Amino acid sequence: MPTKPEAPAKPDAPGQPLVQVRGLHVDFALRANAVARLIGGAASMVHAVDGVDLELAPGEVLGLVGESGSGKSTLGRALLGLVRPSSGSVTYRGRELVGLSESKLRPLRRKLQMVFQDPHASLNPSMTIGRAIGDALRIHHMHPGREAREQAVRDALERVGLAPAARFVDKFPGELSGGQKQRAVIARAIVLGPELLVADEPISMLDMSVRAKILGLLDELRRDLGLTYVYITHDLASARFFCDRIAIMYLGKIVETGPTEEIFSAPRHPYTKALLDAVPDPDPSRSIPRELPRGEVPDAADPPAGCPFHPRCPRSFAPCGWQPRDLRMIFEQRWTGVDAEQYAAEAKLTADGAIFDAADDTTIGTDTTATVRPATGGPGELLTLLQAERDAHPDEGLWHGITDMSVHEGAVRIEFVPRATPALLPVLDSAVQVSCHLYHDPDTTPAPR
Amino acid sequence: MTEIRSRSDVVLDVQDMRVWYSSPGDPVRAVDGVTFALRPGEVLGLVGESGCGKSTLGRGLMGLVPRGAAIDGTIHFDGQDLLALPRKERERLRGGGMGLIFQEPMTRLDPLMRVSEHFREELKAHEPKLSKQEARNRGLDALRSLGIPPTRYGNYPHEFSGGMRQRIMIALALALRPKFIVADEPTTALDVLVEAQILNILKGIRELYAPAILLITHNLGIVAEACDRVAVMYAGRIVEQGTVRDVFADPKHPYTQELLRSTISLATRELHSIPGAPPDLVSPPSGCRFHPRCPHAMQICVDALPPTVRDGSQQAECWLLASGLDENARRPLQRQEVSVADEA
Amino acid sequence: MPEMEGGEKAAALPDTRHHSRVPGLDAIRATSGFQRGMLVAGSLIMLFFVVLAVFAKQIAPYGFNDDRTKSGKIFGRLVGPSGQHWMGTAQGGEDVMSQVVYGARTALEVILLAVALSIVIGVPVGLISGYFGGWLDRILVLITDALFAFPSLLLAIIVSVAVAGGSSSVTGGIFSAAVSITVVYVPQYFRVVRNATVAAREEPYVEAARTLGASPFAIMKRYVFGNVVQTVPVIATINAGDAILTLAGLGFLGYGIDPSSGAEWGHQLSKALSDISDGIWWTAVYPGIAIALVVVGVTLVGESLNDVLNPLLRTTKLRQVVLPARRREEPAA
Repeated sequence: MPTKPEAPAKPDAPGQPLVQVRGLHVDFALRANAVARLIGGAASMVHAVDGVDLELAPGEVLGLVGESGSGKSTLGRALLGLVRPSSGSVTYRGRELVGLSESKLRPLRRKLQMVFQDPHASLNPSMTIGRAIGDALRIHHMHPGREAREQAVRDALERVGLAPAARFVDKFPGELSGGQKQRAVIARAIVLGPELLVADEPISMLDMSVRAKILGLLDELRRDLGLTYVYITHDLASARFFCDRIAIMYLGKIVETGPTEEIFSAPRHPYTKALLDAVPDPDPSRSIPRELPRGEVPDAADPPAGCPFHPRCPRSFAPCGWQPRDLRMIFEQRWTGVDAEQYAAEAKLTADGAIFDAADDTTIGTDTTATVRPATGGPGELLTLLQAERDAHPDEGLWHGITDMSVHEGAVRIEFVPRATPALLPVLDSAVQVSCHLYHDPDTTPAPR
Repeated sequence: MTEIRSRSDVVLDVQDMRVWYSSPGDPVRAVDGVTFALRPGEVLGLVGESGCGKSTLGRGLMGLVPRGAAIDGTIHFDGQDLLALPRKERERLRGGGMGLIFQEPMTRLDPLMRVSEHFREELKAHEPKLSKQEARNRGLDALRSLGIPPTRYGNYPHEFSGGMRQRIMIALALALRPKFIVADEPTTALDVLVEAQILNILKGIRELYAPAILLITHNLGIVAEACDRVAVMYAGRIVEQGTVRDVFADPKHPYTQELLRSTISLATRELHSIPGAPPDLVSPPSGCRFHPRCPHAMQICVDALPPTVRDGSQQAECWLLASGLDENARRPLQRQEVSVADEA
Repeated sequence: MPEMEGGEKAAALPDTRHHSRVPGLDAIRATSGFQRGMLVAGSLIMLFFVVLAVFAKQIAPYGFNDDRTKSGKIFGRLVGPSGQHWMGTAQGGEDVMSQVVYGARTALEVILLAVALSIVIGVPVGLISGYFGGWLDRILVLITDALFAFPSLLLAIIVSVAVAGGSSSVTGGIFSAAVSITVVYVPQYFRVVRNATVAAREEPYVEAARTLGASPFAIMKRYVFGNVVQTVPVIATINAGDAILTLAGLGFLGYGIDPSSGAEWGHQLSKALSDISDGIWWTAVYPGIAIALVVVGVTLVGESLNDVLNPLLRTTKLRQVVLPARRREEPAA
């Protein structure tokens, strides 16, 4: 592993991070279907967080940005000990959280709080706002005595702008508007005096005219209470405004991280670029980019080899991790543009592309070879089809990842460039780290796994 | 009464449409006097905060109103007044001549039916003369134009991702070659990249099918990127409309101005928000409905409904744009302090 | 006039407040039309039997086991209805009407006790099982499934034999009958509460409570319980009708309440069975009517409560909107 530019701070040094995450993995077992369970099939695992390193300095706002399925929410919950990591470490002020029992974590929760996406669902419908906030105090035996507790609740409500507090303490969540409910949720979090606030899409379910108000409130609380935030969002615009540092996540991994301004002014990872290009901007002189990543986030239970973004990446090239199943994607794309007759013939030959998924894929040393058998017809036909598609789109990254295609024992043998998984590494002359073969030559960086 | 407007350059012409729906108390004036038109192939963005009547308007155009609701005004579609048509006729047009795309595609697709069956059912209902093969080709063409490979034609809805399902919904709407589509927040539930893909596709299909689209959204960014014209709705009325370029460059109505200022975009350096919340549409404010939240409210704004003032492509409903108001009418309104207690 | 209005208001105010404390009145307000009719009819029937049960001593002309007046005058066996005995006398020479009235008391006591026991056992166990899940949950679900599969009357008989164990005091008899019925119905409370808890456990507000640092016990008590328990009144009322039939079935077969310690409709029926062929109808018909009426009453209340509390079944009144003619507010400009 290459060393980081700065040596890690000693535990009690003044620059000690508030939260430190090392090699964090969170896996979820997918519930197997009934048949699979009966025959004893193993449930597949989803690597929701797949090896993440993070540091949070006190008072800083870190944005975790990604699409759904990127693992950003799971990572945020793992920081609070709400989900159990499979491996790795999360320390809060030097104290290890991974492996702590629920009862040992509970007192720490006072310092590690969360604001949720859906303010309505995160408030108990049968508790008044006053009781909901008071209950947080009661759990931690703070401000003992009814009088003191009620005063603390009123202070918290007024702190988040729900003033006069008397108007709100006896209201049920159902009687408040979305913005008011989110303010109440924030009040419930800050009344405990937390140091870290994980805000999971806190404004995405609110009406747009309220978003600015809630974001403004969070910003104000950071200044006044010295809070440290992890701001989880898919909305780059609010992240740019609110965050000091950004980590872009894709399929459980951080693909790019650095100071907000640098990420936005000079995005490096093609995924970051794509996300930025895709943000709808209320400036009619701009238009949607022509070149968008194709497809959608793949199934996290079966992520692509190499760089997880490679099948969608507009700048992919030889070492990105091409594998036989990418051929299916290429052909499905091809078939949206051909006529019914041609499609029928090609679909028959390739069993609707299923032969690519079923290809025999072996790696011996540095040789990565796949054997694809045509569903009907001979291998020569299949090779011709593959070559035709390659000639039609020679710039397609996949074809750079294939060194040779030949007929071999009734099948087509395809030789791939060795697959390398990019690592998150610093970029020269910048504070940004990026995991992409475009910036780090796969030959000189050892690929994990 | 129902003079047929034979302007051939207009697909949909809506005049003074109202949709009031019933509530335990007085009726909710969700749409209260709305006038606009759509040309063939034109995309009109309808924006506004939640609870301003956007969705009710979209559904009302389709003749879909909640039980107990009343609708009036005129909706000329393709030369016929929809509201004067018998119910059966109107229902035939819905889906056939007019399409509807919703926010949540999964709730509109039958989980037990393959995609192919959805197309077959739909085409059978609206174009019974189509042969099986023709129907299949029509379905495949529609899917193809939305970038869904024909290999997926026999799949069930749950085998698709959210973005793919939305594409299927759009394909289903397009297979009937409608002249007009209402798309109600079609990309709100989707990720940014998928949203951009679908907006691109919507642009693409305009060249192929050229339907007029009413795109209902709360996202001004989407309007800027995907629409030709924009209509800004507030409290049941369209307060401003015009070409996207003109309205975004020089918004005339204070609500449009505030809405644009309060949107968080990549260029946002300072947060701004509109005080207060949209009014209760059971008893909306007198005069201009925006006056309690308007930074430029005057005495006249409380007293009378503002005039519609045209300027180039733009038209806005605001007293600030009216000329010849006397001193008294122009007297600035004492704004009450709006506390967060009243916010949305 | 204004004075009177004021006076009326002042008088009405505490009255309404008092009424809203009565459970069910709010429910009646929330209903309309047919639903309201069902609820009102059911409630009236129930009220009638509650009054019978509570004031049995005052209403019943004689004791349920008496076969003679206080002065020692014997009623006579199987005397038809008359001014003396409105519902006639039974085989043992007891007054049928007194037995029916006291039977209402027995039924009410047993059902209230059984419902209370079912709630006290079913709700907490369901909460714990649903919240923690795991092996405990699986075992409990398995046990309740087994209880469900067992014929309910047979189960009640077994439990009644096991519990009664020779005790024949009034309270003992009622207690053993209530326990037998509880065993039959507790799985239903358990299942409903458990399923609601499993659903509530996934609610964001439960995760939020966990984030606050609440212990599982606190979460169950303050966050889950209140949202889960709303289903209980409905099951309680719907089950109560069934439970009355089970109680009567027990009595009919000679289990449940000891005849000497309390009047019981089912027992009355079983005694009356042999007389029917002789044309003696009154010993069977009156307790029969009582059973049927109570079951109908409870079921009406239960079903309509279900309609009220279950928003999916609630019918709301919607008035057709009539658009007013347009006022042409012609702008001045």
